[in-house]
Amino acid sequence: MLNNNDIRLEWRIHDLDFSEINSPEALNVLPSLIVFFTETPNVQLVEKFLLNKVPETTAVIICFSGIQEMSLRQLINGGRIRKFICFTKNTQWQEELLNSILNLGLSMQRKRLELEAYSKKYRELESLNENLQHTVNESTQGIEKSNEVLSERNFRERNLYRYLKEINEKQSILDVLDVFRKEINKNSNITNPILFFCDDRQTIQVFYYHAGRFQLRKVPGDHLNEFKEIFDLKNPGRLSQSQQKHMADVLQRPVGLSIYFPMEFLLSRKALGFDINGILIFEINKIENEAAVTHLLISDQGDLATVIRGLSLVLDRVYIQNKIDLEIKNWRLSFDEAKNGIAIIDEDFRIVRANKKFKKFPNNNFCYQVFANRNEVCPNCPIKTAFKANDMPETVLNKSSFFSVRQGGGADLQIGSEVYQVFSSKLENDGMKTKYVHQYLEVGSMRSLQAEFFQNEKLLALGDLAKNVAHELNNPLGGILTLTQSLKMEIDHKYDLDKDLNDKQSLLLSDLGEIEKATLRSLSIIQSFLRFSAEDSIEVIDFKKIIRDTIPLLKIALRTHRLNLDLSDFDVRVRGKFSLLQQVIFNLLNNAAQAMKSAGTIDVQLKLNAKHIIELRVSDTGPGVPEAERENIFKSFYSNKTDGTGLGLSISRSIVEKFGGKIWCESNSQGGACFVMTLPRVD
Amino acid sequence: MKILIIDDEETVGRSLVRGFRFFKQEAWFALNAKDGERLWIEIQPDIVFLDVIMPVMTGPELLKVMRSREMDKLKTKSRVFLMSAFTPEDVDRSLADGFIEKPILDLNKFIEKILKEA
Repeated sequence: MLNNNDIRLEWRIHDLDFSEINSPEALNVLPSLIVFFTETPNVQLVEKFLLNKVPETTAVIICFSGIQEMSLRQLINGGRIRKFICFTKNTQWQEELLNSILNLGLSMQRKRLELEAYSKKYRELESLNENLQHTVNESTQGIEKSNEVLSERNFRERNLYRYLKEINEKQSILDVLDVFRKEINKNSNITNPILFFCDDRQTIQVFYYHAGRFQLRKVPGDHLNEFKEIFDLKNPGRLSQSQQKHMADVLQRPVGLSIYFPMEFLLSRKALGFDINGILIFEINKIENEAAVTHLLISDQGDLATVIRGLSLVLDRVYIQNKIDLEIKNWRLSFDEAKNGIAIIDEDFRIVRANKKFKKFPNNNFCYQVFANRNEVCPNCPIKTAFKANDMPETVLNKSSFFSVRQGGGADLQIGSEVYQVFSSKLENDGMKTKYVHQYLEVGSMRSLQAEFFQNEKLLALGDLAKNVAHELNNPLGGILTLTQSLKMEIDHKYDLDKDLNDKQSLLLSDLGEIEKATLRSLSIIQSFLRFSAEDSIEVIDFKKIIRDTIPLLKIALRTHRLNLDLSDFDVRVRGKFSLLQQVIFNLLNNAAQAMKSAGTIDVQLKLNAKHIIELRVSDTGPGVPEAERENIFKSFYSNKTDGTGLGLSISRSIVEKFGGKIWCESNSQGGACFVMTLPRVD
Repeated sequence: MKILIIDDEETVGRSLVRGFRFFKQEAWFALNAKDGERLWIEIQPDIVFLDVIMPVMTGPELLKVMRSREMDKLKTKSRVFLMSAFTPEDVDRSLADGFIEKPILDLNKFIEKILKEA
């Protein structure tokens, strides 16, 4: 029974009296188990013994008999007695009792040891638990701390993001600076920022906060040099004393310790090609020492640096945006105000953009609708040829088509009575439909002026030629006249002497007389012609003489018609050039003659209507001029004749108007045309 | 009087010669400056009618030559009239005594006038 190998039990038996147990020597060994054998345990003694002598770790067993359990119960319940065994006298109590006691003791010991072991383990666990708890606490703290840090950073980043978003939405420098300032003010170490800005090296602009908003001032020219050196600074730093003084001069207030941050305008500089400089300056307040200032300057990881960088980028963008907006505005103005029609057209003939001059028939989409009022593409439109080359299109001279394409000059477009020259060139490809720029030059009037000019030149050349011919004719005709006259003289005299030949004489004389008359007539025509083409100056002219001198020039034209002259009795003088006015009268008479296909009558009437105006009326019995055409006939190139230039009346009008008169067309009572010409009279 | 006509238009010379001879004067004509010069030296005329526009040598050019001749060689100084269809202003009349505008429209009156003034 005692063969539990795990637990060794040493035991002694003390045959003691309770009273003897008072002395400590009785317990000079520390038992783990005390077994009391007693017949009648004195509870008080036991209690005393237990209290004074028995350590807590000792198990106590009381073997007794005959005692009332109840009295020991108290001790048991108090935990001091672990077990008690009640025995009777009759029991073979020694061995059995011992066995059971020892067994009991063993189990108690075992339990105690287990308990100890468990306690130990428990303590270890507790300790471990404590450690874990400690670790967990630490970790928790750590996590909380880093959470705090994170959420703080999160908050800062969100704030930064909001700041960047807000500042990026702004379109003007003042607005941008406002957002910046609000952000900066969260840092109490620095005051409101000041921005120095210089874009063309001529003026320096200062943006500063005053009276609740950002204001702009231009640095007067005499301070420019001082500031140039500031703009050369590349890295953030502290302003020197002299630089602070310059600032104070400009801002007209004292300036304390300040730090500066150069602003870069990379985008603008690259796009616009000139130097753009900016410096951001802060005055420092409340910083106690150098270190703090330096920290502000060098912390490029810090938020301040990010905020400033944000500002720098946005300023760059805003600046170049404003410049671009201005350029676009100016371009649009120039485009819209151009005197010629310009349109940007895509390859489908849709109008991308057109200026005022182009939009003759607006509210349409296609160029041929808006400009030419056509429902289809104009043939030979220069777009097709411009598509092939970047330059002007090739020549195809095609008079019968709506367009005629000329070399190096674009195409011609005729709309009604207006003529335009159209130039087409391809624009840079922007990834969408190909676009062309069309320019429309009104050349109609220019062309007619050109034609008039060339016609004039031709006439002048003809005139020169004719003048030479006239001079050449003068000579022989003059000679013929003189010879004829000399013959007349001789015959007249000769036949006077010989009376027999009187008949022959008179015949010869009359024949010679005819030759003389014919020659005189020829000479007179030549003289009229020479005067007609002479370069004369403005002078006072006898108007009736012009008429009289011009009529012989029209002998052929007038030969089938009748000419009635009703020139007034009084002198009619005007101021002008003889040759030019002669052209006008020639033109009127010639037109009248040519208007009448069959024999007709031309009435020429000269009269005074108002006090100082003379009026010449040339009427014919031809078909007349319809009322709708009476103004058009005076336009250049207007002609209903298959030959002729159509320039006669337009030139006549310009000549008459040049000398202060008017010319127009009426109808006459016989249905023919009546041309009326007025001129101021000279007394 | 002796009258010389120098003009490249033959009808002019012939008719003037006839005319002056009708009026009992002596008259000759030449068709160019060279012949005219020869006759001028030979005849030593009182009056010369000199056409302005002539090929090779013009009237004024010949006149200049003859005026310098008159200085040393000729005995008589002739009265020279330049003739032309051009206006007088266009012609260099510095060495001439008069100017006659062609064409002459009335021969009779013309000759009478010339002879009266002579």
